[in-house]
Amino acid sequence: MSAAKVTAESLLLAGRGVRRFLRSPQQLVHTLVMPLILLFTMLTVFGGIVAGAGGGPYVARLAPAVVMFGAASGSVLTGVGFYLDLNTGLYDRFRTMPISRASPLVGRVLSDLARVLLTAVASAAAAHLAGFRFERGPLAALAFFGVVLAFGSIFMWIALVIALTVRKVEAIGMLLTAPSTLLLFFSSGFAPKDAFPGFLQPLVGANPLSSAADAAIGLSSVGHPVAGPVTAILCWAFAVTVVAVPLAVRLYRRRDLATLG
Amino acid sequence: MNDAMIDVEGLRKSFGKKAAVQDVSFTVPGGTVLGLLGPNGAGKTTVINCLSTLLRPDAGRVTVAGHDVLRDPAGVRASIALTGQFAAVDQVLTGRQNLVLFGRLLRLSRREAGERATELLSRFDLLEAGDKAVKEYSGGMRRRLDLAAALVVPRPVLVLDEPTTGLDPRSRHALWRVVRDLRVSGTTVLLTTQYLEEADRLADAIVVIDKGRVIATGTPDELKDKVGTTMCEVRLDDDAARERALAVLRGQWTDATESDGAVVVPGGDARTLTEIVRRLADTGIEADNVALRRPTLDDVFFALTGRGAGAPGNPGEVARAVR
Amino acid sequence: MSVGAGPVPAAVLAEGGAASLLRQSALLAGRNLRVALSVPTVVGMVVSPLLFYFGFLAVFRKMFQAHGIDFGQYLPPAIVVMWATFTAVSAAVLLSRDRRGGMVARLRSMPVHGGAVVTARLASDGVRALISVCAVVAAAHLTGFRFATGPLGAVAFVLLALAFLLVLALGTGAAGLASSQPETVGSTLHMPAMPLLMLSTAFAPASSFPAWVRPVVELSPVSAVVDALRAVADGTGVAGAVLRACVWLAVLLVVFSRAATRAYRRAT
Repeated sequence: MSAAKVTAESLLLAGRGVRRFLRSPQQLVHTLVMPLILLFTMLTVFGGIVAGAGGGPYVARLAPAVVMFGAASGSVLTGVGFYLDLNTGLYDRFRTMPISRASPLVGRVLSDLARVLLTAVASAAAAHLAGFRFERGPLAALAFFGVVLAFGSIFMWIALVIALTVRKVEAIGMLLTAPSTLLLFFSSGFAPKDAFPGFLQPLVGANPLSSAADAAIGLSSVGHPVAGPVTAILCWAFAVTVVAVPLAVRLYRRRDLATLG
Repeated sequence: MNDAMIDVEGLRKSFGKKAAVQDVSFTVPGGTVLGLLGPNGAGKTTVINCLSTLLRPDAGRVTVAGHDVLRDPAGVRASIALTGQFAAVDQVLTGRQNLVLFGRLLRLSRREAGERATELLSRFDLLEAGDKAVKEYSGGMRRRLDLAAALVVPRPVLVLDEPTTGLDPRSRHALWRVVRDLRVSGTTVLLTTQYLEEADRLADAIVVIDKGRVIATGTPDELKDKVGTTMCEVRLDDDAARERALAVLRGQWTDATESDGAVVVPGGDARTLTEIVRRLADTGIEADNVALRRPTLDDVFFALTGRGAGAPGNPGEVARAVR
Repeated sequence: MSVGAGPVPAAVLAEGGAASLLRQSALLAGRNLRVALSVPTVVGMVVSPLLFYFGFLAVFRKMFQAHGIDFGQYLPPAIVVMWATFTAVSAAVLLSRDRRGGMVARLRSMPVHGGAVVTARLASDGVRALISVCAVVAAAHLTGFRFATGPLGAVAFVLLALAFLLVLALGTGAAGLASSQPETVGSTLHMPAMPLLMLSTAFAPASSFPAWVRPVVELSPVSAVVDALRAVADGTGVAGAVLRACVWLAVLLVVFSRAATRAYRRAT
């Protein structure tokens, strides 16, 4: 099979994924409306308390954090969507068609990365209303969304591995929501690292959501470090990719063999 | 007993502007089985919901075992057992726990409910699965449990809403047996179905509704007689041969028609059939299959509604039926 | 042995009054709890609110200190109210699931007291919330949360929290009964739940809000309940705060119980 064929098929399937997302009110609410409600309520409730503690307006910290959280919690959709494709017969239909085995997986990855990007852009635009600005210019803004994609891909691959492993669809939400909420709280997204109790600070520093949020804060607001957090989040993404991608591909292939045998 | 156990007169029910049931009347004498037939969205479930007190009729009079659904709904509920289109049992509890729960809700003591559960589990061939969670049951087992739950405390009237939809033939036959047993023991049964064979086998009388109105009533045989008695059917898979056969046969039987890959000659008997075969042989047409056939309820349905039992009524009603 | 076993006279199955309601509610609540009290869901009822408690505490304790607020004493009522809200939303989802599965229709067509389904739901959710509230109070005790009013105050605190849950669950339950699509019920109720909770004095005092939302915050029934919970814990201004909360709850009780009765009567 040629790479061009796989690409064409994957893009077709990715298109299906994106269309499904845009046509599903529930998914739009989950990935778009909920993060924005989180952003605006947190700003209203804690803006007065946090003001001044982290340097700069609270929205400059909160908006990147919420964008990252949206990418992380959106991975539930990746997991559930892929699980349903695998277990409701759609995937079996693809297998009986003259298309590459790789295309459904690649298509899923592409459509979900597109979804992550789409929701990130929409959230950033909404945060603009609350005073969030890209102060470092268009190139840094592009890099900002690059960081979102890197961070989002971490959760997406984990979600794919989970979808290929679990027996019940309910388990996917539980396995992904609790960790992403935990990461959000114990990150520098809501408050800078030194606002946390001393014993938690190493944990907050090591949290990939902290690195992603810090990188995004640095790339959007003047006066925050960039190189350190960007390197950290790229290392995280690389590490997870090296482990999770081969694992997901192996599970995906093994499933093929198991059902064929 | 021959008094009407279910009496429906001029029943009407609308949802918003959409009339689901426009004017339905029928009676079910005690100890008989009535089949309520109709395509998807014809209003079957609405009728059932009205007579089981789930919906308030807009107009008309509905009594069950002598209790008026509007004036004495509690009396109706005490006389009626309903199984809906879904297996309305708890998926997490075991089969036995479900039956005990329903028994105790109907005021059996703990001991009585336990005994009755065992009795029903064995009657419905669920004794082995009795202590497994219902979500591990097959569709057929779930349906059987659902029916068992309706029978925990026997009531004079049993209402079954499409009891065998989606069941395999074995489970379907098992359910039919139960319904027959119930009838023998004096229970009055109202059953809706899309399967004409089912109504044919179980029902003493049939009411056909379409678009919220009764379009025919009678025993299965009476309905079949309405369509005609026997018919001769000549199956010809080749289109051209069929055309020719039709032309030839119309020479003698002007009312011969073509239907679904066959030429059909209404009326007639074995001699007619022999005559048909001879005629065709003379013209060199070889039929794939020749048969003398009584009309089925499917024929009745086509004749009455102009479409099959499975065909939708109109889109709005289908949407409600799906909901 | 026959299936029919001779019909039971209707008089035996008369729907009866309060005694039937109590007995049948207890039976159905037992069923609800048997479903709800599996190990993973109990872990969820205990661990999730604690996660939120320690999360908020870790993030904001120092910053509240800078404003002269002891967040360890301030936060627990907020988590309790938040968890009661989430429990009420899940009650709606569970009722809607029962409706979709045909359980509500079956019970409605049986000689079962009309109030039993909703009462049973409330009773079992009360038990669920009680577990969560006790877990939060116990964990909060470790981080310095104290009842200045002693054990009696602690009991009043728990009772008030449960009353809030029950009233709210009656309202969400009406929504759950009105729809046979549990997923939609869940997501539509979750959306307003967050602003409703946050735009109150639950997580921050009214004075720290921007001036334009302050009236909303001060008027919010959530604020009334949270303020009463705090008053009971701190032992200051108890009577006034509790009275205000009770008035709110009474008003909501009337509105929601009407909605729930209506929804139950229409559920097919």
